[in-house]
Amino acid sequence: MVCFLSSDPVTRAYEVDLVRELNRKKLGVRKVIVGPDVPADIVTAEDVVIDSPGLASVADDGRRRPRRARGPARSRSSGACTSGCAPMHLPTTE
Amino acid sequence: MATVVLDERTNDRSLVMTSSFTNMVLAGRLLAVSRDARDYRARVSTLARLAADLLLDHANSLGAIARSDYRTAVYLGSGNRYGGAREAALKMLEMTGGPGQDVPGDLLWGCATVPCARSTRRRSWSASCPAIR
Repeated sequence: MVCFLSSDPVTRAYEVDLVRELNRKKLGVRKVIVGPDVPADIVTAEDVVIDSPGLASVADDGRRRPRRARGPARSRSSGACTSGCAPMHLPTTE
Repeated sequence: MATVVLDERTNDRSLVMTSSFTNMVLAGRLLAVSRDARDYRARVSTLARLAADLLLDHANSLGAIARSDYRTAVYLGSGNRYGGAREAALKMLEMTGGPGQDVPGDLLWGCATVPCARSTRRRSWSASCPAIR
């Protein structure tokens, strides 16, 4: 399982929570986790972390675009995202 | 109006056309996001250095994972990393000849799953992978 973690803090919180759930349910044999500042608690002994120091300075371009993930969602704890964590321009077709 | 001219070398002759994809992404970033050529060059230089470091630092550990015994690979990414996740899944599909499956759309974390048909690795590409013809 290859997890590309977002540099956007709101999206990142959701993704990290999802990885914790994958670990809890023992889904996926091994993970490659890509992104800066990967929380240690989501990394198991078999996993590889590609943290690429400096990647955060490049950031996701998507965060420059208008999006709805602002406001009350920021104050939530991780994992509680519903409408607050709107996806950023996901393609809807092939 | 901006014009981007890709070097002829980006017309990659390899099977999976990784440098072609990479250069199109970089050109897309310039057209879609960057208004400042100097800022863009700095970002690209940073990304190129990170990619080189990745190969130096992680080639062995990633190689060990690639050689381990698995039948399915899943790639997760959201936002513009969703496109990267899909492309990574396509690379796996192309290199293994496995039947790919994409779960696109409204997921917060887009998912591209590739059942890796490792036993068919040596089959003819034209027969096993119509997507790359």
